[in-house]
Amino acid sequence: MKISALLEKLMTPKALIAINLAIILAAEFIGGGTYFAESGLMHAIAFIFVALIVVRIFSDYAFSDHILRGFLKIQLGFFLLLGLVHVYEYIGLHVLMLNHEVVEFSATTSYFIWVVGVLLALEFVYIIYYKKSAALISVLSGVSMCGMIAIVSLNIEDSFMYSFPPWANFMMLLAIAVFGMVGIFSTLRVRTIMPVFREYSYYAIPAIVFLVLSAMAEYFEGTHTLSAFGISEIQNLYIAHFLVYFALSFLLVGFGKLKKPQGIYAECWEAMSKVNVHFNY
Amino acid sequence: MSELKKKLLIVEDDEHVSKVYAAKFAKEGYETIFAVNGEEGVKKITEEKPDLVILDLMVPKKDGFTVLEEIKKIPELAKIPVIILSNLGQESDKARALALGANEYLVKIDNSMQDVVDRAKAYL
Repeated sequence: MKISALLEKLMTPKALIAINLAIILAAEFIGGGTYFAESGLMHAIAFIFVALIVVRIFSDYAFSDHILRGFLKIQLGFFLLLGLVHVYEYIGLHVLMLNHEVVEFSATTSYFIWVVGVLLALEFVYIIYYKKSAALISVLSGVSMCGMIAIVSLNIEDSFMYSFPPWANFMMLLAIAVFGMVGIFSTLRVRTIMPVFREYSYYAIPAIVFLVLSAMAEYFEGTHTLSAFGISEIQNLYIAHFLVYFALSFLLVGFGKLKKPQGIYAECWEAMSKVNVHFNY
Repeated sequence: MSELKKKLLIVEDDEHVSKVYAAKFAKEGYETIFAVNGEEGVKKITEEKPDLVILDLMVPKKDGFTVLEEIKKIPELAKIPVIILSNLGQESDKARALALGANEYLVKIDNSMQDVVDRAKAYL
């Protein structure tokens, strides 16, 4: 069996629930509940998700419609970034021994860039539907570019980190929450306009919520706020990562739903399978 | 003498959907022609005068609403029945298309191919 076919089987809701449960149980019980944090395994698990995301990107989709295709290309690109940032966290903290604060800030910034990516993809649909200008697309592209430049600059010269005001992390969290909220409303709107996004939205919206919660947990890890409630730093780290893996899992299923919509697309998919014609993005 | 085959025009940018439809309609004994964008759609409706048009609304160059508006202004084309087959699901879009002269409005995700063929047959 091809590796991609095997990985495809891991993207069913049941398999992803099992993977997430296994991650939680392993993290909480192996090595007294601290091994996954100390060894960096908590970050390294992201390799599995990156592999699944890559398979999802090269999945076959049951349509070649220019709007759906454009939406998918943008979303999947940002989705890969979201998976890769955890691989970067592992390599940065446990292999290259980069500045901890820089790595954490880069991860949080990448969450922000992902949320901006969600809005960008939706805006791509809206400029066609509402026949509006691409001004907002340009602004969002500029914002995500600034985020990328910030990540690269910080990783080249980590002393920039110390020039940030103390409220910079809070502002980033606030931006993720606000953009996340806009992303949720925008996703709700697109499914009303185009019902083909209906099933996808059932998974994309919780994914945005999980990601915002994960960003909050990351922020609290830095401020040690949760220790007042008896939650250790390790548990805080685990919560942040469990939440982001939930988000990635929901997105994997969501894109799976978009890959093969119902109605005429289901029959097209069947016909395509018979003649072995597929569309990759 | 064999009867002339009825001709359908499918205005659709999703090439695969068009091809699968062509196969389905061919099986039913109809001839199918295609247009991949709105401009080509108007051109083919004018030149070929099909017996039925299956029109997607979100097509490049000229959207389906504009195509509908343009052909309904030309008396000899205005009588050609038009079935909208779109991803747009809002009542306002449906009302607009029907007000512009579409005969049917079908949402891709909520209808099977057989539904489309059955509706098409009613006008052929």
